[in-house]
Amino acid sequence: MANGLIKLGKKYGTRPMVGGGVPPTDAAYDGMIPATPNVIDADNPYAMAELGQIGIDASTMKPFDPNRFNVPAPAATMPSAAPVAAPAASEAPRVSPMSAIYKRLLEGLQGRLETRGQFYDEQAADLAERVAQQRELAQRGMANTAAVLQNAVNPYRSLTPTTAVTTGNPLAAYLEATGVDPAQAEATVALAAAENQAYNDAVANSLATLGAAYQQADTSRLADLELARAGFESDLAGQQNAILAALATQRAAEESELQNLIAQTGLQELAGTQTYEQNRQQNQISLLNNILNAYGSDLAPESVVELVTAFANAIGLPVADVLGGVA
Amino acid sequence: MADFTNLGLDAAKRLRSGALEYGATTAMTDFARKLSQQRGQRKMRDFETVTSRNLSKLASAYGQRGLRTSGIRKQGVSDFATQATQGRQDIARQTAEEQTQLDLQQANAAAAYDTLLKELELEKTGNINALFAQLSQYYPFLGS
Repeated sequence: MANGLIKLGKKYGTRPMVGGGVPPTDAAYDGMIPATPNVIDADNPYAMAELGQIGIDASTMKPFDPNRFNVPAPAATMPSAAPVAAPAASEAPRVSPMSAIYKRLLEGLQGRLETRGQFYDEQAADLAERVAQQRELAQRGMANTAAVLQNAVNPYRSLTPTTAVTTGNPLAAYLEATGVDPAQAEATVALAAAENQAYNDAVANSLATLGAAYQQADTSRLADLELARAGFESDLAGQQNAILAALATQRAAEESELQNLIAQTGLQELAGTQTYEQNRQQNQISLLNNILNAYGSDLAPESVVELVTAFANAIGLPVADVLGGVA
Repeated sequence: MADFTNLGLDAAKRLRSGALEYGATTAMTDFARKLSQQRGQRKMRDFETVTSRNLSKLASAYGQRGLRTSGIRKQGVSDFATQATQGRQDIARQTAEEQTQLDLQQANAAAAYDTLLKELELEKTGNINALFAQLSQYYPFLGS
């Protein structure tokens, strides 16, 4: 036997079997039945394994001493106040198997959130580019139109009225030939010239009126073009803003939904981990109960306390909580 | 909603029609101007011929009556010359009026065509702008 080997002094069969039966003797179980089932030693792999599951070194256990109350307990057998060393810091934290799934789900949701954000950013940038292209095209068209409208070919301004030919003195030949009265001749020429001048003035006035009306129409058309330009810019900007607002609303709704999903998934992951940890601790306490039920009566009280303390440290619970959970 | 199908086509059709009308008017006024000038020249030539002939007859008539140096003859010749001058002036003015009338008609045709061209250009710009604006409304459905 190794140093520290526990011998409980009880052999197989000394403890009543449940229901008063006899231990199994089938050949199939022969190899599994330890020679000393109630003794925690190397020959009892079940006990060693059960204690090992909760991180207890069986070799530290002390057997029950029926005479212990007759003699003072040696100081060396007092339970150590020092807890069993906690699990190494490098030990991987215990997590629920579902936690990994939740974390993958969370990563997916975060990725989705980022992807959708990029999508909306790209949509906004694309919209701005399209609007800029439309504006450039429209401005090019309006510039062409403005060039046509500003082509100040005023057909009335360039029109010169045809005037009747008025000779200096058409009666000169008659004066010379027949001796016409010079005063009458001058009066006749002056009358003709006045009539021509009146006619020219009337035509010029008409042409000026027509030319001014035409120029006014040109100016009005240029003003219409400016109105069209301003209206187009307003429409374009308004529609761009409307689309951007719709995109922003849609983006906010989508991000809100994704963030809710992320929050819910995080809560589920946390709750799942807590439930898993609680179940694990409960299972460990049940295991401790089983061990104590099976071997507790054969252990020294300080070993029982040591066992509980080591167990509590191993599973990360206060000793009092573990004791409360032990039946 | 803008008529996308006829965008530009309707304007081109109306512009062709306007160009045809302008061309026809230009040809008609050019021809009428030529006819008017010929008519004026012919009238002036005929008038000068008749006036010279009548002036000779008038001078002979006063001479036959021994009134070659009389005040009556002088007044009569002077009135004749004045009427002749006014007649020539009327012919020249009538021809000029016809020319001006035709020039004005041609200017009206040019103005109508120029106005049509500018109005169509303005209308086309409005339609294009409306098309752009309506396309912008459908942007979310057009894809990237």
